[in-house]
Amino acid sequence: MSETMGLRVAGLRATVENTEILRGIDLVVEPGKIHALMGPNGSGKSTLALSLAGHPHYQVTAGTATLDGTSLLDLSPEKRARAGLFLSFQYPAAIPGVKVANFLHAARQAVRPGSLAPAAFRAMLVEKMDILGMDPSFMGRYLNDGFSGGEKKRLEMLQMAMLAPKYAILDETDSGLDVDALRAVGDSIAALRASEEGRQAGMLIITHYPRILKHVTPDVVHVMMDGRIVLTGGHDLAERIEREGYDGIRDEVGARA
Amino acid sequence: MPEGLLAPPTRDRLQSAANAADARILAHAARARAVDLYLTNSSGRTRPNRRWKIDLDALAFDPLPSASAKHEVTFSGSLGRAIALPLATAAREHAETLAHITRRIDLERSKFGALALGLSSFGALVHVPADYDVAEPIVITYTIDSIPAFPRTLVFLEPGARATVIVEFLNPTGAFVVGTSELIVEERAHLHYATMQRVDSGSVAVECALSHVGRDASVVLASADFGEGLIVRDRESSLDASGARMEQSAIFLPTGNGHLDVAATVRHVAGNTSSQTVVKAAAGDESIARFLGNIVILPHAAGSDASLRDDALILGPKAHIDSVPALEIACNDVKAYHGATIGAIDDEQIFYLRSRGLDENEARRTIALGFFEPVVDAFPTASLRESLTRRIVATLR
Repeated sequence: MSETMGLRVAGLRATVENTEILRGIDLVVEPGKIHALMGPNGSGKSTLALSLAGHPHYQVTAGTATLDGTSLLDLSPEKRARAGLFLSFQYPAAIPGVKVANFLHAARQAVRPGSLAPAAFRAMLVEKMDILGMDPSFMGRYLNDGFSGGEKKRLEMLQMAMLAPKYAILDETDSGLDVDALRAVGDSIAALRASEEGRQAGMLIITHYPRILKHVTPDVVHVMMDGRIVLTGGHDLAERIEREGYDGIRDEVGARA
Repeated sequence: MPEGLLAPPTRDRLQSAANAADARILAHAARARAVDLYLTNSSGRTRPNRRWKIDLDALAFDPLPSASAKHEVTFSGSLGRAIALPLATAAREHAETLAHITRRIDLERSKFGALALGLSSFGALVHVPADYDVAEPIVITYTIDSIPAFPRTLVFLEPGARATVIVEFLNPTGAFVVGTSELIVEERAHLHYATMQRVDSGSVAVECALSHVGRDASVVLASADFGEGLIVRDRESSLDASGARMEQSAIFLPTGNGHLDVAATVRHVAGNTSSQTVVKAAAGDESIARFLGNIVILPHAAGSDASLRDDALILGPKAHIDSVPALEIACNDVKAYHGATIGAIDDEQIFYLRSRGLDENEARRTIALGFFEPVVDAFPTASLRESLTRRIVATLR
């Protein structure tokens, strides 16, 4: 593995409205690996996701972030997407009047220009929607407009499947989902990784609950608190969080510090 | 020949038309802007006012139509048993039909209607016989030769008739066009009536549209207005008998120093009538869009169902949008809804689309097109919808 491959974040600091939220994040997601980023509310997980995606409200003040060697921080949000980064939003915006199918086609063209003929695009869309258990009528609906929480998250997963990013950050894609929707998300991730385009996709799954990890087995688990990654381990770390909650880890980290 | 139709225009007729409507004129057509349309009321406060005044002496041109003007009206579409004729021909051959329509339409309710009534010298008649369905849209194209012009469009659908009528204007630079749409839709008939126009800087386009909808009849009215000039639409639809339905949709997209002003009233005269009004306005640059929507439900109109929805998008930092929805309800047993939103494009929407690879301009265009999409759908033909979308895209660029 080349030294530059991966979604590599080093010493990343970021502020929102002059309040520092990220206080030096170091993280490497290698191609094909699944990382889980866990942590209590307010620990900065979503700030990390949105900072990497280039949200204008988040100011990166120090550190680097590269995607297979390309520095992300100098790029506009759309160029980050075209470089192969995908963010599944915790709260996706509704855009009335923009049909799902048309939007997906425009997005696919933007991130992977000319890679699919219209018929192949349609076929792929039908297949991915089937995996996600989405009714074909979804294609004609307006983007997230009047969608339930579960429908929004399925649509985020559909976008991930259609765009086949090199690296995907899933920001609490599991929150608010029922058991079936959770399974659909897991199936969708598995299907992406089984596809030719997505075989080498690296994933950063942000969650507070370990339950999504029953459907997707992470290679690495990180725990984030107060704007830093305080603990990194294997799958067993997620199980420990399920047993003990974050308090035990907080005590341990506090004792070490 | 019906009174007021095609009689030779004179200054006296203009003045009496103006007086009849208690009107002075839009001052200075070329410079007519919001200020001219906001009159000071007796309390001294400036507020939107529908009573535009017409000051003949203040016009930048002679308001009387030139005798030598060669306005053209052409029709396309296969008519079958329907009739579509220039008004001059119709006045000779179908005087009774014209009389039937003009008896029922009171143009003097509107200042602009009164003006057109006084000065119109050309126009078109569409007449569809009972239970006849005109399969193809009837397209009326007015080619305006010189300023000013006062085209009248009269549409009469007999019981059970169905038709789609599209009105287009080809205006010269600096046009001053005050037209009418006079629509009679009798019981069980269905009319889809659409107009789209672009008015360049320094031009004025005014439409007075009055319609009567009969028992179990329906009318879909769709209009789209663009440009840097002044566009005024003054519409009133009357739901005269049980089961009458009206859907009206309007798109406004003024740019530059454009001003778009639409007043739309739906009168529920009879019970068990329904109306739906959807307006989408987006104002760019330093333009102004103004919408006065009024739902009137009269005392005997129990069971009426009315909705009025008005969404506005501000695209330029100096653009201005006024939205004034109103309900006047004189009956208890009705359903009435109105809602209005106004704002700029949401940053979170832009970021969301950019995170999917669209650049900022594409993101803004996509959101704005989406904003208009439900109203674009209200236009009758695929080619019209496509040309409308193209025009929206071109305007947003």
